[in-house]
Amino acid sequence: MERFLVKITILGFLFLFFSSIFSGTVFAQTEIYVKMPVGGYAPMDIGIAEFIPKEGEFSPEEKEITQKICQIIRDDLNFSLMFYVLDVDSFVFNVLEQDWLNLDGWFKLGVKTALIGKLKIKDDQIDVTMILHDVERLKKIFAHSYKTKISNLRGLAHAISDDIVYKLTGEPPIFSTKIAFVSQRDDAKEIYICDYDGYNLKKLTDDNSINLSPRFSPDEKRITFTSYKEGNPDLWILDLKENKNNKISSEIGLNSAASWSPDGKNLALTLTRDGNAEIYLINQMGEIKRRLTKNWAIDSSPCFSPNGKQIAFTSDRAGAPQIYIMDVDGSNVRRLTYQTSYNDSPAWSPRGDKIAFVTRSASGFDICTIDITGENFMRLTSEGSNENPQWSSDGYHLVFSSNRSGENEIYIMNWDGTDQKPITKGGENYSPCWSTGH
Amino acid sequence: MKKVLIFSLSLLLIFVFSGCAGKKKEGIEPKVELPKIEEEMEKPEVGEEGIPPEYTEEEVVRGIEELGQEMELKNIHFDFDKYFLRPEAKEILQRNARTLKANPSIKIRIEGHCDERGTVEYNLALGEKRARSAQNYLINLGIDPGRISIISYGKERPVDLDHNEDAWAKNRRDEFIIISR
Repeated sequence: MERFLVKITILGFLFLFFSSIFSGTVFAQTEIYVKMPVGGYAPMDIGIAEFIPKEGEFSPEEKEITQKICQIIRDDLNFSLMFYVLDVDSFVFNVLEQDWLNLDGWFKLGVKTALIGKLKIKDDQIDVTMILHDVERLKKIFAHSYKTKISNLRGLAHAISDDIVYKLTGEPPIFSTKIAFVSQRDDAKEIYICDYDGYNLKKLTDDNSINLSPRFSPDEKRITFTSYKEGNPDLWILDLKENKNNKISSEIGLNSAASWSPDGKNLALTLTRDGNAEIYLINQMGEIKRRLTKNWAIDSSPCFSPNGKQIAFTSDRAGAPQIYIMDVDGSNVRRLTYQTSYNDSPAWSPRGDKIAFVTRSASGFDICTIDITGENFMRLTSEGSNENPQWSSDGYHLVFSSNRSGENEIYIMNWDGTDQKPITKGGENYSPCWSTGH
Repeated sequence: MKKVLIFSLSLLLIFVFSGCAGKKKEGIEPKVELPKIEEEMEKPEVGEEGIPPEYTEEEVVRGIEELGQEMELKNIHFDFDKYFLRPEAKEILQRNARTLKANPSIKIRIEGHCDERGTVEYNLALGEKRARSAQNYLINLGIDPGRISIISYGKERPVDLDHNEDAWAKNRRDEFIIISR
């Protein structure tokens, strides 16, 4: 264990040395390889060998399952922005007359980290042991075994990717996270959920009503949403495990735009019970703890800072919607956005430094980010209308909805606007939110 | 009164005519030929052909008056991202208020709606502001607040699904729904 730590420390300093050349920023922590600052990241090379059978030979079906798992891991790691998965396979090794399982071969190809897995399939169970190697030092960094049903092979691959990211970078892994959104497939607007990459789509509500603004609780076990199923737009909470709905706030008028406090104890939301759209703090029982805004303008769309001490929100108190920040007790209000005449939908990055929001454009809206100091305004989208940005828990990605294809679909992209891709196909999908990954 | 009678009679004749046209035509057809209607409009008395026997004259007139008043709870429309009442919206609200005063048992719900531009959450709040603008105006005209409830549907229930200025203008509206008589 001690040697392991020493090795990690040495490697860590090496990586920090190189990454600091590119970024000029060093976050020194001994138990991780690289700490990625947002911006100026330098992805880390990794090679992923095709998994080999634990015993005997693979049948064609087993071979297919193995290749699928490896491909999911490659896609995950490439998406993470922290890794660059080298495009080498057994063919390249054969041409170069190198042994696929010999770390020396990887070393000669210039790969610094290699994942080698062994896999066995019995009945409907997959059994994988994977070992992460430090190629330069010929050492194991990490080994772990996984068992699951074949039907959960995507879950298995995402769990392996999660472990690789966490062990090598210390970043919160996002590959097992979920995205919930509203979809209008019949006349009703129902809440759906899928994996971060769009697979495993499931319908969560089925009440033939209007259901809006889903938000994951910080423990990911529940989702709040606003529903008209009893007539008034009330706030409901869905227990994902029990698949049970409970009404938590049914003040007369709107009970909308709820946002969880990071500790999961309270929610900020918009109520119109006192005659105007104001932001209130309620507990999980729906009891009002405090009214946070008092202004004859519209105050809506609250969003907690990651430390829970501040709330970003939208207000049209200056004549048109703009983003403001206040302390969690409602004091110390300041305006954040001045760039365009219409800004809404704030989402505070889990890293704390940026707020994503939408700004009005010729074709509707674009997703933007701005530092909480009000500097570094960045427009991340340009095609169609783009709405409802929400961050991944690592702060490197955003999910949003866009009508650029002619239909409203859910998209994901990197924090800087690169690699925008849809994860839904058909069905008028909007208002996504990204689970926290806890 | 005569004018109303003549108007209602001709309306009824048209209803009967079109209703019969939809069904199998058996012998009634000659009675409702168009030239005849015109003839009867000239006459001061009410002809018997057009009125189904189960309704009295008074009932028909009252029915049509009520129909007319119901139609008069007209929608009002708003500017983009605004909830103030335009002059023509105030006129419509004054007419709606007269209808409500003439029918004191009616209770209504004002539904505030928005166009698709803007976020779900902001539009919910904007729709509520729009409904409340009309509610306050009606209350100021002397309508009992207990007769008017409000709800916002934000941009969730557009009447026109197109994505252009015409559709947006139609969708930025208050609707007045009679919830009890």
